[in-house]
Amino acid sequence: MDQFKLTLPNKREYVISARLAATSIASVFGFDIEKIEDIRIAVGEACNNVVLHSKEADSFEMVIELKDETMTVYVCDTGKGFEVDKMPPVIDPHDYSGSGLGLFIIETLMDEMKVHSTDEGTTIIMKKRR
Amino acid sequence: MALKIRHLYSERSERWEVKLMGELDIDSSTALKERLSEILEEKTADVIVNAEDLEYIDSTGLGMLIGVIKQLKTNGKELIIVNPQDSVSKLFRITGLDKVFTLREE
Repeated sequence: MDQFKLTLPNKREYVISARLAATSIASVFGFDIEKIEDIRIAVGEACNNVVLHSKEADSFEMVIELKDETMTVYVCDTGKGFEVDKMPPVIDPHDYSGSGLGLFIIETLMDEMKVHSTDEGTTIIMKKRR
Repeated sequence: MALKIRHLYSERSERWEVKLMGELDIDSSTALKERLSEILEEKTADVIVNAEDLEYIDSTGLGMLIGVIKQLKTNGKELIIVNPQDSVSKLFRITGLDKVFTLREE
């Protein structure tokens, strides 16, 4: 298994750096263009989630693992967390409140998504198969 | 790539024409929101967003545009997105927001 770790300042201007790193690694791993674009968007949304909802964390970490046919991305922060069960399961486009859209997008674009959130931090785990 | 924004008011079609180039994300959506607020304060009119060179949009960009659409609707105006790239169209489609926004080819 190949593993990459990137620690980023918890600032909105560095989210693009996480996207660029993830897409570069996905390209080397052999994903097609459409799947690379899915990964780019999903990683961006996971990092947005940190910047918007874990403001008390100074930095956050992105870990990428490549194994067999699967790329797994972990986006981990040490913020206060949120109640995953309270996120809306579906988005009503005509009554969009701004809440939950990012996670909904990740779940749609990636093959698997899990969110672990406690009062000590949140980890979003995303998997994409080639 | 950062977001570049160009705008002009078309007297002939009586609408704002806004061209976006680059990435509309959590870092750049505030700049676009401010620019759209400025031009709509100058003149309330329909807004045509040329998205042919828009390479990326995320949920914060979508959320910001929804806010602009709501503001325009109260004045009987609309926002139309023209010539979006496939990756941008896909995000509107999977979120169901293609039912809220008018997307078209010109």
